[in-house]
Amino acid sequence: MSNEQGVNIQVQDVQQEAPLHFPFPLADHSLELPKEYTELQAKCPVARVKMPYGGEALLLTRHADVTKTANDARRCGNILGSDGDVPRQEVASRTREGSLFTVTPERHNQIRRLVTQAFTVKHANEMRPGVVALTNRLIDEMELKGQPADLYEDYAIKTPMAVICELLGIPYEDEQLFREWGRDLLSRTATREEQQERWEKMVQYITPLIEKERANPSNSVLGMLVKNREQGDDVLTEQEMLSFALGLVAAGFETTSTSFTNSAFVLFQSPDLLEQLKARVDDEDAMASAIEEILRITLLGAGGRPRIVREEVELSGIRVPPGEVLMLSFFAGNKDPEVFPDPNVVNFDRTPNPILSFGRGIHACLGQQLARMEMQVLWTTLLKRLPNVRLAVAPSEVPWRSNDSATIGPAHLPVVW
Amino acid sequence: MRVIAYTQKCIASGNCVLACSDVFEQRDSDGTVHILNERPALALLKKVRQAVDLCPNQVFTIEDEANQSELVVVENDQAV
Ligand code: HEM
Ligand code: SF4
Repeated sequence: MSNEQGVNIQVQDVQQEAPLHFPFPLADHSLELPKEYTELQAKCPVARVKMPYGGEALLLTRHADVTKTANDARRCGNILGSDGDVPRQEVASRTREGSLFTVTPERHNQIRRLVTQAFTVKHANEMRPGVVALTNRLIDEMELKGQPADLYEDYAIKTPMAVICELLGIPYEDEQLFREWGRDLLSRTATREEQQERWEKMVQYITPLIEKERANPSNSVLGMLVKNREQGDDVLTEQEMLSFALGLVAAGFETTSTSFTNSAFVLFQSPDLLEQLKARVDDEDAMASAIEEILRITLLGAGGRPRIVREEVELSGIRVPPGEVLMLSFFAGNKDPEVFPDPNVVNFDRTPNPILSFGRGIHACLGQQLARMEMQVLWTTLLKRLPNVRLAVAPSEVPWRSNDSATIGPAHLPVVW
Repeated sequence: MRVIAYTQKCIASGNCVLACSDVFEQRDSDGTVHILNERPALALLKKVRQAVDLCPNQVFTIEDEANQSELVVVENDQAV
């Protein structure tokens, strides 16, 4: 529910001060939200920022503004190819025709609903035992190989990768390939040509799998998409089908593996929180509540999610005209004291906990129940099997990701137990 | 309090089910919200309210919120 505010607030235009450079830099080996966000949240909720590849955007940091914008797909839409060269976080625009992010809002839910049955709470829970078994196997392998292990490579990435492969009905053996796609899709420095090249390779890869589904339809998500396409309902174009299937591969593993790895990097440095989490491993509800709080505080990226204003909107009493690019900071919204009392206190029993980590509005994360389940299982199995798990090196020695990726955090996470 | 679920807006996120599975479930066919119990026990009022707040796409509207002595939850499949 949105609080329709603004009754007695005077509507103003954006105050044009010297804009800050976006995205704000993080401290070395830190996953703390840069302080600029919370300062702006308090003083300048609609802040003009200079974008890295030219132009300016407006950064939103308050829970209410981020929610209002994400909820209003008509006035604040996704950026389309036809918008041309708008201010952005990447070298080249990543818009692609027919993706969930570029179809009209009406069409969007039509497409999404073709597969939503595979992303329900119930289905996530049906997949849970398989994920518990998988994570236990991965720990077995880590124990066999000996210490130290790389919690990112050996554990965090393999779990969501296996889940998304099973769900889509694509072979896990090709995981290295999917990782490359993921890296490219998240790269902020890939040129339009490089993106196109990768896209063609991805299409080449998936085409025979689609042919196989056509000949012999399965219950996988790929099967659901193909079946729909075959029914001739004219619901899904070939481009939409490809774009959706390929997009899911990348959306399905990077986010979850980064969430887990980044939360582990933070919790391994907070023995008290780790103890609290350990005390919950036999209580699924208590663990679920803790994971929600972990998702609230875990930073995955240093930027924001873009939208473009199509029709004038009012945010925190400020009038924003059409054409402005908005950067929504879901992570800053997660620290808004108006919604989360003592936002910097980690409280595993926080209720209610209306986190923005999975977005809001029609584009809110399709995979969020799977992601929750995977995070719960990853943490539960790890702490049950290796209660003494800890960093093998000083935090400052942990290998870090290059900064051309949209995601931030450790590139490897060496641990002992 | 009367809660109306405009099911056409539902994006099948499942958050209402997490908040209150005694009242909300997701349809097997497409994951959209289905009301299991149109007259839930008053003890569930707080949880129903949480489901409304956690819904990512404002599927629910609340009427007569001040009246906390009655709880009705219904579906409406009209477009909004
Ligand atoms: C912890 C893990 C995850 C996080 C933090 C996360 C976060 C997000 C966010 C913030 C959005 C909305 C972006 C926007 O509004 O601009 C989103 C969208 C999406 N996510 Fe996730 N996600 C996660 C896991 C997953 C998984 C496991 C899958 C699939 C298996 C997935 C699939 C998607 C898809 C398809 C969309 C686009 C939905 C649409 O446009 O309708 N995500 N995610
Ligand atoms: S929380 Fe909202 S969008 Fe999600 S399933 Fe329930 S009604 Fe639908």
